[in-house]
Formats: sequence, structure tokens, C-alpha cells
Amino acid sequence: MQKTEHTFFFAKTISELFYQLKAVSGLQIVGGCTRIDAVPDKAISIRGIPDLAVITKHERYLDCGPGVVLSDILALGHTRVPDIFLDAVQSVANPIVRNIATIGGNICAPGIKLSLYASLLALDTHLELRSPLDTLYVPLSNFTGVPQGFILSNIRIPLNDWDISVFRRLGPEHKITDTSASFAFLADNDKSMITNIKLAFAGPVTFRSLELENRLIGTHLPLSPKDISLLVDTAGKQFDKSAEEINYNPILRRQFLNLTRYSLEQLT
Amino acid sequence: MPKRSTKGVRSQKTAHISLQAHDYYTDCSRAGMLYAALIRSPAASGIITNIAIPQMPDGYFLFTARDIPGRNTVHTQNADTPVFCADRVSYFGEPIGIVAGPDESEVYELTSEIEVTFDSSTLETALESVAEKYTHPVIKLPGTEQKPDSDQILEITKAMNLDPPAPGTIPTKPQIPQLSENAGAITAQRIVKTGLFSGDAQNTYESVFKSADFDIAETWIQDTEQPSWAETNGAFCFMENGIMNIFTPTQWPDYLRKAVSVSLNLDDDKIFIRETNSSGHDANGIWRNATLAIQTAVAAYLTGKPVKLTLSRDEHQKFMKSGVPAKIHYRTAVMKDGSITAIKADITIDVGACNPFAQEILDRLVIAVCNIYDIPNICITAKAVTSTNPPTSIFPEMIDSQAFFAAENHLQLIAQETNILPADIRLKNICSNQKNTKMPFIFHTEKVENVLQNAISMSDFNRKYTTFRIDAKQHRNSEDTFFALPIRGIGLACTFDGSGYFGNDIFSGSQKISITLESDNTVTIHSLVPSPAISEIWIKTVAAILKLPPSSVKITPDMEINDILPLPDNIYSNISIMTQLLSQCSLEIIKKREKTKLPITVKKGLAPSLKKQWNKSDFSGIPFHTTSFGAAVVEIELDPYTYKERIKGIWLAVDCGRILSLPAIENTLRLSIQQELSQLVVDETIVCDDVHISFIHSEDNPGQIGEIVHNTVPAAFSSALSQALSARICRLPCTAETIYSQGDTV
Amino acid sequence: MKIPVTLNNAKIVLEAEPGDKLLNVLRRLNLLSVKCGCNEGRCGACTVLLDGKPVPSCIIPVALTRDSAITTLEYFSKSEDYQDIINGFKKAGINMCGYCNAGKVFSAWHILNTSMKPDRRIIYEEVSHLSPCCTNTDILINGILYAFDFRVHRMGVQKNAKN
Repeated sequence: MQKTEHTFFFAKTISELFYQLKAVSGLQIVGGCTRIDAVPDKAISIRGIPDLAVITKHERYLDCGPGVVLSDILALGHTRVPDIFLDAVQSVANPIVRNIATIGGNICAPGIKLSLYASLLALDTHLELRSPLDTLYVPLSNFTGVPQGFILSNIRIPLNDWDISVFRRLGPEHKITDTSASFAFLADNDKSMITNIKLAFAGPVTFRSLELENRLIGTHLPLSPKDISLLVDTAGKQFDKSAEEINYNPILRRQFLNLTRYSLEQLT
Repeated sequence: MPKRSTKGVRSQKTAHISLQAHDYYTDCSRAGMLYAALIRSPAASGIITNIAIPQMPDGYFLFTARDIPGRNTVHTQNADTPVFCADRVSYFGEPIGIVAGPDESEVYELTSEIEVTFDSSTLETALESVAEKYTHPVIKLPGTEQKPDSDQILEITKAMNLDPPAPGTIPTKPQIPQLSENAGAITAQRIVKTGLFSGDAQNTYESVFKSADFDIAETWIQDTEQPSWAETNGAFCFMENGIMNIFTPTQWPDYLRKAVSVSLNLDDDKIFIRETNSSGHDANGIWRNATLAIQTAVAAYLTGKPVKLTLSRDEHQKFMKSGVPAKIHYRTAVMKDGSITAIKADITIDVGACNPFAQEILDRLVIAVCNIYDIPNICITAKAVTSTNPPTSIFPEMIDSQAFFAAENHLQLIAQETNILPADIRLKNICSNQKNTKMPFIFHTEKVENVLQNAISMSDFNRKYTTFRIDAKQHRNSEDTFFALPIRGIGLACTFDGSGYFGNDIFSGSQKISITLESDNTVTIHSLVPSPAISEIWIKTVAAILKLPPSSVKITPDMEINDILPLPDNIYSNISIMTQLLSQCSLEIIKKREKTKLPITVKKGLAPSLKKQWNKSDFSGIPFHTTSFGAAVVEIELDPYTYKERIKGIWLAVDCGRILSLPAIENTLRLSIQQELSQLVVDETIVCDDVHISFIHSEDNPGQIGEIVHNTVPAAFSSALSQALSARICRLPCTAETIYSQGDTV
Repeated sequence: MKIPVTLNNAKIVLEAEPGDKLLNVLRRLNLLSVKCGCNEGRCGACTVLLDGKPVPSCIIPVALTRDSAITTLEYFSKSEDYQDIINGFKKAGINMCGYCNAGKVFSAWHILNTSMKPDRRIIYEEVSHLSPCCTNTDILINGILYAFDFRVHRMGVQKNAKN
């Protein structure tokens, strides 16, 4: 086993960051570096860039810089952050890790999607990707990675009130394994009719269950046990489609279906 | 006063005052210190013919068995193990050498570059066992990834200086390795037969079980391991003025000194042992630590420099594992009324490559396997077998727990099969009249019923057990999968915690203590200073009897700096025995005070007549000096959607005799429960909503409670889980997969 | 690599490989209150304050701490806040083993600094991950509540003295 040599670069402003990314090939951005076994050989830290660690609350959305640490998000409390997202942040590791782990690092982590992903997916989060010349806004559901020459500069989380909000972190509390995933469900109803619904799952398999969402919007409540079973089957098919060619632990599928059932029962 | 091997060398005091005192050996350092790492065998068996590290840099050293100045042997009780493996490998990861150098990461790099050459006649075995396990010795460096099998095997052949296999012949899966000649050897045995089983006829066995209304058999395995983040094992050694100084978390310094003396060919008085903190339950400081200390001392002796060897967390978990894996097959003959007429128990423990204490561990399991129940016909066959796993040791805090896991889970199973409440099954079978019992092991069970009833009423066990049983049946039978309520279960276990085992002289032989009432009316307790909690108990006990303020009582080791006590340290702080002896000393002082001038010193030891209550040759009698009893009820709730467990409550009732310090005992039990909850399910710490502890009032001699939680809670938990899942959980720790596969059928 | 930091209130330049764990770098500087525990950032044995927040030094590459303020228990133990915490722990009957001190003390300090009036639930969420090597969580929570009382009392006395 060869000892890996790491090289670290630093930037104090976004312009410096772009400069370094252009000048040094293979340079990767790191946030809190909480996964020390996955530190890239050439890394640049955004810890010293204040512009990337700002939280701004607007009337209908919350802007978080990628360098915002999770404990700062928790400090905002339930009045300023959607419950489901706060629950997701609370489920990450433990308080001392949350003092250094960043939201950007959680979203961009390679491999199994980490705990915040499902809740952000359900909330229709948009990512702002910036290059020296261009700015893109990408919904998280279409996000496949930060393109070459771009940086993740902002995470925009819509602020809506939801009647029902369900979040569960699956798998061990303090590790990421093949049974780790997160589940998020949001629903609104008005006069016994479902007006809005979001269902997301993220882990080795990641998807928004759009087909189920579309089927449910406009449906009258209460849902019968038979309806719920049919809807759970639909969700299962969506899971299977997204999981094609992905090796996953079968527990996750079962847990997803169970949680979907549970969430639909909450509507009833 | 315990016998001391005193060969003080007063001049050494100066040397040690100059060294900054540290509680942990990992904090020790000296100018010019070298870091060390062990080279480990990549195979579980085979004969090594050569070990070489290519291009050793200047200032870096490699030492193997050939370099040991004295004997390459660590002698423990009746077992000899090598310091470094010289040729024939006994277990995977066996140390074959030590690398030392000034840069820690460079040292680890070098260990990964070793070339180990195996004898070709043992090649197949070695190759297979390596393919099954690792490509390199266990030093995990960050940034490395596990490679696919075929690459692994190519690396192995390269590491073993072999020609690589022809393309297309690399097996994709390793074959089952052949056992080495010692693997599976029985290293200790115990057979106990009573009643109809004494005759040894096979048809007797079968007739006993055939004549019963229920013949219930199951195999139980408890292999829980508490996550430990305390200091890993190792040592810090240096030579100074001809004295080998060893700083290490040993729990048996006298034994260590003798072992070092043999390996380094140094006289005892040229070796100074400084015991650093043994932190964590898996400190493994009785004998396994000695090998590490000797390995480090060899490096320090030969280089003439200070050397520190610290095991990585991975190494510590793999090679210094606490506990001994045990498998217990239980078969019981039970009548309709719940009385157990016969038990046949087969106990097998895997002691790894070696365990000098295998007999004691086995004996303790045999004594515990029938618990406190009065069974007319018992047949217990127990054996300890070796294997190619790393050597194991003895851990007083968890020595009986696997037997209790089997016994108590089996009782729960009997309750289920016979449709009798678990508490009633236990009460039915507890020994009520010791004079008429045919059990070979005698416990004073007068208070057990109290303890059991206490736990049952505190937790409302009977009502919940019945309700959850009905719920579970309804779940099973219902076709309606529209479920919303959590799945619940409740389990009960009651066990004893024996201290001062008379069966092994090493651990119960020479407990003595003395106290002196000084001329100024202060009191000195002559003993090793125990933990703060035990110190407080001793001081309060003596102060109360002698009617003196606690501030006038002190505990002093009363030893020269180089003195070492002959037995493991935990003997001298055994709370039950030593506290009794202290009380006896204090009462004697009161008598003498009237007639004798101060100062007065009184010494007391364990009366020989007490030890005679246990008949070693027959393996029968009263095995322990004191026995505490505990009963635990665990109620769990499973989230039906995620199968996540949550403990609604743990109720613990304890009879441990006279309570010397209620806050200390409560803290100990609560801490034990918290630690237990992190080892019942792999990778998870179970949340517990509430813990209730109740003590049975008693003026009996105080007993230990260190094992009560570990003995009772796992069994109660698995019983509860079994009820919740309507399945039999026979093994702990369980995994998410276990629960998922069982829960999915609910 | 040279990494300028403020370590225990003194500006220094650390010389280390950028990927080295902060834990190892601090221990090489003889700051031994930082202990090697789980290596996963969980047990708290390696906790230090980084820019005023408790973090696990075993999972932080030292390069990341450039221009930051690092405080270890050696320095913190000279403060009045530390005394409040130790007094509170003593009152609760807590005897720390010496290996987990950094995690417990810094977590306690963080709670006292960020909560107006900490309750058991909040404290439990902050400390439940710490290694249960020598102290159970209930008693630790008691200790932190006592520490809060000591702190409030001390600050009240100081405020009155100023007035």
C-alpha cells in the first residue's frame, strides 16, 4: 500500500477559487472533509471563503452556501427551516461532526447519497452552479455532479408549509453502509383532497417518485386500504426502475415500501 | 498483607521522578523514541521460511524471533506461546516480527512491504487462508480500497515470492482451508452428569427425553462485543542505567516482569514495570498484553532506544478481542406443569490459538449453564477447542454471560411451548431446598423469588407478556396487511453474579488485607488503591465501624516503588471479599483497642474453611464466596416500517447484600446498561426510554454486581425480540438483516 | 506544508503533511489531552475547539485548519468556564477516566455557551454520542446542569461586583 500524498490549496474568495481550479488540473473542492478516508489527492478548501458560507432567508426560499456547516442550519430552528430538512440535518452523525460537516459536502459526496439528499429532493431544491462566465440553476432531481469549470455556489431550498412531513434515516446511525438511505415524504391537503405531494428516496438508489405524485394529486381522502396497496405497488415499480443495474441491499426496498405505506396512512 | 516479591532498587526512584508521569502509555515519550509496528502473518497456518523487508532505511530496524536475547516464549499457567512466530504459524495475524523507526507512518509503510516466504509444502493451506482473509497484514492506511479477488491472489503470490498462477486458473472464490494440526484440538474439558445420566448409557438419555411431555432443543450463541474507544493495547519501553523500564496497561505486573526476564535474559531486579491506566472493558491486560510488552522491550533492548508500540484500532479489535466465542446446545425434558426433569447441555468454546485460562472459563460456563434451577438429571459436556483465530484471554466481567444467555432464552422458549408464564416456569424450577437438591452447584437462593417477583411487578410483566403474545398471534394470522401499530415484545431473565470463585487458586487464592489504627487515631488501609467508588466504600465501611470520620481513613499501597504484587490487580480490589475482610479487621481492632496500645495492625485473609465448600475434585459444592442475584425485564418496540428497535423500558431488580454506596451501585448498573445497549444489534445503539432499578433490602455480606447487567439484559432482549417477531432469535448480536428477514413475515 | 494557525491563543505555524489528521499533529506537539479513540468522529476523545466549536480532530485533515483558532483542553482548563464544568461534574459524582475528558468538557461548554436554559432533552441530544466509558449519560446530564448553575452564579457575582 503506497502512502498517498495529498496536496491542499486554499482560496479566500470565489475568484481565487476559480483561478486555482483552472490552474491546477485534477483539483477537487472539499468542505468539512469529514470523510477523511476520501480526501482527494489534490484538494482545495472552501472553508476560508465567507461568501460560500452565508445563509439568507427570503420570503419563499432559503439560500444556503455550500460551505454552511450543518450546526448553523440547526441553529436557525424550525421557524426558519422546513421541518423535514431540519430532521434530516439532525440525523447526520452527531453534534461535533455537524460543527464541521457542510451542506455542500453532503450533497456532492460521491457514491451512496447521504442523509440530506432525500429531503432536499422532496423540497424541490435548486442548485446554483457558477463558472467565471456563467450561472446555471439545476433542480436537484437533475443534478448528476458539478460540471467541469463550475462550482456549487448556492443551494436554494423552497419554504412551504406542509401538512404532513415524514423523514426517516435508514441504516446505522453513525456510519454509511449498504443499508444507509433516507426517505422523505411531504403532503398538503385541502378540503379532503391532496393538493400537493412529494416522495423521495436517496441512498444507493435515488429517485423522486413522480409517477406516484402525479397519481395522487387531486385524489380525495380518505384513501382506502386497497388504494394504498395499489399506490405502494406503483412506488415499488418506480423503485425497481430506478434500481435497474444497481446493486442494493433488499432491505432498502422493503423499508421504502413500508415507509411509503406509512406516509400514505398519515394522509388517511 | 499479600505476599510481595520485593526487590526494591531505591536508586531507581531518581530515574522515575525525572520522567513525567502519564496515566496512559500512549502519552509517554522520550527523546530519540522509535515507533514500532508488528509484522503479522498473512496466513492462518503454514511454515515461514524467510521474512525480509527490502531496502530498510537507515535508523529503521527489523527484529524477529532469532533476535530475542533469551527465550522466545511467554509462559502462562501451563501454556507456552511464542513472542514472535519462528516458523509454524498458529493463527491469522500472528506476530512474526517488529519494525521500529523514528517516523510512525514510515514504519507502517515498511510493514506493508514485507516479503514473507512460506514453505511450499504448506503453500496450499497458506494461500487459501490468505485468499480468504487479507492481502496484507492488518495495518489499515487511509485511502486504500479492497481489491477484487483475482487481484488479491496475484498480490499474495507476489508477497510470498511465488510464480503467479497461469492466466485463467485463478480461483474466483477461495476454497475451504485445511485445518492445521492443532486446529480443533481440545484444550480443556469438563463433564458433569447427575441423576439418570450418571450411568452413561445412551438409551437412558433418550428414554428421559421420550418420557417427557416436551422435548425442547435449541442452540444459542452470544458473541456480543461492546464498541470500545479507549486506549488500544501496547507498551512503551526504554533502557536506562541497565534497567528495562516498561510502561503498559498490564493488570498482572508480576507475571509480566517474570516473562520479560525470561525473554530478555535479564534478572527480575533489572526490570521495572509501571502500570498505566487499563481503560475500557477490553483492556486485555492479564496475559495478552505481556506479549506486546515483551515485543516492545526486545526492540528497546536491542536498539538501546525508547520504543513505543501502539496497536491500531483495527488490530486491537481483531487480535485483542474480549470474550471467547461460545456455542451452547441445550436440550430439555419438560413436563406439562413446567417442571424441567432433565437438561443436556453441550458447550463448545473457541479459545483461538491458545488460552491459558480455558479451563476456568469452561468451568464457569458449566456452573452457570443450569443457572439457579433445580434439575434432577443433568448432563453437561463442555470443551474448549483451539482454532486458527487469535489467542483469547479471560475477562472476569463477562465470563458466565453466554451460559446465562442460553439458559434464560431456553426457559423463555419452554414457557412459550408449554403455555406457562415465563416467571412461573422459573419459580417452578428454582431450587427451594438446598438439602434435598441433586444439583452439584449450590447457591443460596432464598432471595431469588423476591428478586423475580420484584422485577415482574415493577414491569407489569405478566400482563404485557400475555397481551403481546395475543397481538403477535393476531398479526401472524391476519390477512390484513394494513398495519400501523408498533410490534412489541417483553422478555425476562434472572441470573446470579458470583464473585470469589474457589475453583482457581490464581483468582481466589491469596486475598488478604491489613489495616492499622495509628497512634494519632487515623487509620491506614494497606492495599493497592482501588477505583474511587471502591475506595469510598472501603473508607466509609472502616470509618463507620471504628466510629471515626471518613477523612481520618486513608488507603496506602505501602509498597516500594519497584514492589509488585504476585496476583492480577483485580484480586486486590474485589469489593465483596476485600470489604468483608476490612470489616473483620475493623471489628478485631475494636476488641484489641481496649487492651493494646496504639498503633494496632490487624491482618485478615480468606478462611481456608470457606474454600473447602467447593470440592475441586468432584466439581461440586458452593463455588463462590458471595453471590448476587438479578432479574431483568426488557420491553421492546419495533417500528413496523423500518424495523428499528426501541426499548420502552428496562426493569432491573437486584439482591447484592448490604449496599455500601447506593449512588455508586446505581451508576455502575446504569452505565452497564448503557454499554450493553450498544452491542445487541450490530452497528447500532438502541435507545432506551426508561430504566428502573430496585434493590432488595438485605444485611447479608455485600456481593459484586459487575456482571449482572451483561448476564441478564442480552437474554431478556433476545426473548423480547423473539416475541415481537414471532421468531426465535438464537444469536446475538443480531443484524438489521436478521430483524428484516424475520420482521418481513409479521 | 506550513499551516498558520492560532493554537491555544498563540499564533504558530504547523508543519505537517496536509492530509495528516489534526489529532496526530496536536499529539506530536505534546498536546496529549487529545486522545485517539474511535477514529470516526464519534466518541469525543479527540475533541478540540475549532473557531470556538467542538469538533472531532480525528477526522479533520490538518490543512483544513489553516488560519483557524484551535483550542485544546490544556489551554481551556485554565479558564473559569472549565472550573464551572469541573465543579458541576464533581457535584454530580462524575469521575472521568482521563480518556474521554475532552469530549465531555467541550460538549458541556458548548451547551452552556449556546443555551439560555438547557434542559435534559437538549443536553441529551448533544452528549448521547459520547463514549459511555466511565459515566452514564444521565449523570453526565446532571453534571452539566450543575455546571450551568455554577456558571450562572459566578457570572452573577461578577456582574454584581462590577456594579
